[in-house]
Amino acid sequence: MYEREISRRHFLVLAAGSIVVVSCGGNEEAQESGGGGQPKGFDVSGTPTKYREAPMLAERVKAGDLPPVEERLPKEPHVVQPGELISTDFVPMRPGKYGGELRLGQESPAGDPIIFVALDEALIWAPSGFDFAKGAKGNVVKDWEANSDNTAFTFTMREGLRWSDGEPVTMEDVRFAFEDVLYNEEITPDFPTYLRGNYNPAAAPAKLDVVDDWTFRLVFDRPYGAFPAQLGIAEWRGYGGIIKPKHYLKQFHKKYASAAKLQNEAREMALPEGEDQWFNLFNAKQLTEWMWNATTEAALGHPTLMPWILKQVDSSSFTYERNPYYFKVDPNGSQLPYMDGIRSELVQDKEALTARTLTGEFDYLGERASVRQLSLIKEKAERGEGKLSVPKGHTIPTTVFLNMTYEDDNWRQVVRDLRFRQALSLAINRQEIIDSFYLGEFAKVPKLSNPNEYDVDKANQILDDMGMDQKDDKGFRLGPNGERFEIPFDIADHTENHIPTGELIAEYWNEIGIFTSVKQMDVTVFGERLADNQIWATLIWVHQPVWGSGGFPDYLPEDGWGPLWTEWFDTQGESGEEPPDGVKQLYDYHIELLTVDSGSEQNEVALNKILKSHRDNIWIFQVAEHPYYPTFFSNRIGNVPQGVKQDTYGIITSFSMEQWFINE
Amino acid sequence: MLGYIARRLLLLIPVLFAISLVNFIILELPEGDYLSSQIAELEASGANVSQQEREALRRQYGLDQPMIGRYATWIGNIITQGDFGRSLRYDQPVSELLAERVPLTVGISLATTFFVFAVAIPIGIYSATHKYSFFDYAFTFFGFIGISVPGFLLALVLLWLCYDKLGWNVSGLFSQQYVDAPWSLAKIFDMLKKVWFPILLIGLPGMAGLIRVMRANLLDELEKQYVITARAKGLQENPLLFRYPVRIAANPIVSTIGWVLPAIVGGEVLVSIVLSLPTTGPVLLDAVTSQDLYLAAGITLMLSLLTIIGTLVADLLLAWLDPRIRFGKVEN
Repeated sequence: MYEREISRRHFLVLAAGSIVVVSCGGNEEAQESGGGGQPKGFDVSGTPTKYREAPMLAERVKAGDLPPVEERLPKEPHVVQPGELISTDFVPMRPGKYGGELRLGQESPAGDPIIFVALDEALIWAPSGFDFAKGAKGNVVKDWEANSDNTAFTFTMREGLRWSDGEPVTMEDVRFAFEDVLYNEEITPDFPTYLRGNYNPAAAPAKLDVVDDWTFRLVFDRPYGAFPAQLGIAEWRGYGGIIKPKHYLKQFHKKYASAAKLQNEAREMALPEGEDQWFNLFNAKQLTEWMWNATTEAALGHPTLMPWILKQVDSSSFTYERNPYYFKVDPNGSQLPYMDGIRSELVQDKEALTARTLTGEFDYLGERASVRQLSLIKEKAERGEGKLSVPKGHTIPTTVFLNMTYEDDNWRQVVRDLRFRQALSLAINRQEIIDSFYLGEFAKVPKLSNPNEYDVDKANQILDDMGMDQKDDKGFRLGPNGERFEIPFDIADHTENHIPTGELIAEYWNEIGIFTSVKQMDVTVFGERLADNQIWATLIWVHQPVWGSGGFPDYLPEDGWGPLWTEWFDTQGESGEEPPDGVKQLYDYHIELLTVDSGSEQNEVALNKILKSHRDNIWIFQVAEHPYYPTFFSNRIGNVPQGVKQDTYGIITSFSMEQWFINE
Repeated sequence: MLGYIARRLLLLIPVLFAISLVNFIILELPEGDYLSSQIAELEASGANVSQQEREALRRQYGLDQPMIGRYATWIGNIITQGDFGRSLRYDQPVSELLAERVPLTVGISLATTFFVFAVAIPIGIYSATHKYSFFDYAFTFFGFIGISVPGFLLALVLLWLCYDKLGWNVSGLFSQQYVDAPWSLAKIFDMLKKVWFPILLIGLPGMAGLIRVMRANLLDELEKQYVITARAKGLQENPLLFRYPVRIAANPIVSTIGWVLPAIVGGEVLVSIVLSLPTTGPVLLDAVTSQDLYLAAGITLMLSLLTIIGTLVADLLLAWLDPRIRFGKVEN
């Protein structure tokens, strides 16, 4: 069966892991046009001075409906170099043909993760999303700069940049975002942590300093070297938190619209009425830095800076059309995107969706497949029915958690003992798991975030030595309270691999005398119980490959293994439980990771400290690292990667959609 | 007869009430609500939802009222205003979604029911009169395939095979240009090109049982004295067959509409999910799993209504066909 949740998780994981891994790998800079027999690439020697546009837009210009392309683009549009969106190792970016509609399928009427990523535009962008060591360039903004101690970041906006409805983007839009939205406690009761110094809930919110009409500065009360990564890729953030279309959103804001009008709108949308509830309407309409709603009906009419705009939603499909004011061009001066539009059909059954993609009805599979479908997809590719790509995943799909803050003293005494966790880790046959779920090849035994030794005898020895040598009549070990010690797993089927992996782990642990059981749970119920500290043990996932970005801090105690410790950190000690020193150290490393420059050597150092803490303390159990997964393109799509075991994150492929073109 | 009909119609109302209440309670039973499933989805995609945001969203969606209050408001609104509430997932009034999809669901369910009976009865007759012939076995075989293989699995396999080997796209109900177009004769023709596939898939499981029952009943009838007498008196085989034995054998079949129709409505849900039909099926599944309460309750209410009315019609049909039922217990 297909991995249901890869698409969602892959986003997150890709972001976190890319920074470290990409900076380790090699990314080429922009290349000159390819030689000898290959189709011509781009001439990137200069900046384009003449711009071209899609024929469908040229027609509208001729008809007088649109201003000419020079007026639609900012004075200095963003020139997308080959290798910028995705490394030229995997996609030697070629000049694309204008035209055509991308056909996709989506599972949920409430938005789609692939299109969300494709539409997402961040303020700045590092090569391939994660390669901050190579330096991030301006994306929505023209340029950016940090001061020497990373406490102030200055951004220069693009003059002439316009919203998708033609209105100019001005400093008013930035001011509105801060003064009227972020600092407004009714709309934003919880100021976003990524805009606090150091991603620290204790730090002061960023202060907006308007330098001139096109330049603004964000000032923090402490060094925040990871801010560029937070802006550029972490959690797939977009520009929406910092630049908002004031001319559109002010009609939903108490300061600019009449209370009566707001109440009417609220009533129409079945939101709570009442003057003090006006912000519900605003929140229903606005796009935050998490720009997911750009793929839902809330986006209809909302001006954006994205390559495509949602034009129509009906009972079974979503239709997107190109944004005539999109600010990117290719090195030849052709305005992006190449494809005229996207049509996403609502196909609620994942199997049917995958089947229809593999038969060529849809153009891109996204992250819906797992290694188990690899042979099927490869067969199709070999018959020439499509293109196969096997990129890296950005999450470790199955990570095992023991909740060390579950409120039971007997339990805590055992699981908080490092020897216990060492024994459990020794009992897991990670290679067997990789053979079973990753065909032996498409993942590796952990090296960075977990020990990978497999030694059942040693495990038994450790358990005997630590005092759990008493066994009951079935051979299961007794805990300190004299009763059989049990590990009850509650696992939601986040992916098709979760329950089977949990059952394998249970088998391993039963073998060394620890009674382990597996219970499947509905994912929503599971979420509630998890947040309530009511889960003993479970499997979820972490973004280990992209931890280096500082944007996916699931190396910290999460709801899976230390919710009360997380609470302590989030409330700065007011509630929750104080973590032990080893865990507090993790927090210190976390702060360090966020203080130093993204992509710098100190970034590596901090990351290594975190990884070492995990290796030494086995806070969580990783079964594999470096996972791959297959994806599939129809034959008509160009500028996409093709190949097996590619060292690029699959999600970056989705990010690069504005350079895809349809070859028909 | 009229009294019987009137009584049955009156009974409809309390039955519907009871169904809607039980529905509502069942939909509310799982822990959490629409919000928690939404948050779970969001967090799986990478968002981080703080406690305050959860509270704010809860207020925004009006999810902080007790269940009985919500049921009363909901039922009240339906009766007085025809307002089925709002779907949180689709962000539209439920009545709009229902208006879009229920007619098609009703149409397909009824068409499938007709199809099943129209095909199963003749096949049953043929099977009985040509007992143990090649076709008898063949029909039985295919019938049992239909009954043993789950409809959605069959749908998925056939979907793949048709596109892969034949290049037919059997999913969906309309070709691309007609999907969003208003209804017209051309659109109906376009639909007819594709609607046979779901009707076949939904109907197949029901057919095997009906064929066998028809066959068995007819065989019983054909053994009876009056048939032998009629033959002896020189009546032609075919008119004989259709004038008496078939009518009697068909009686129990008509009464099975009572359970075939709900089975079809239920089976339609699964098959339509796989084939992405624009009916209530996919929407229902999505609404139930994401706990979009009003949408799920609204759809199940509509489908229950369809089923109840269907069984009522079936009962009336049976009463019309068989005078013995009409007069109830016959006093001597």
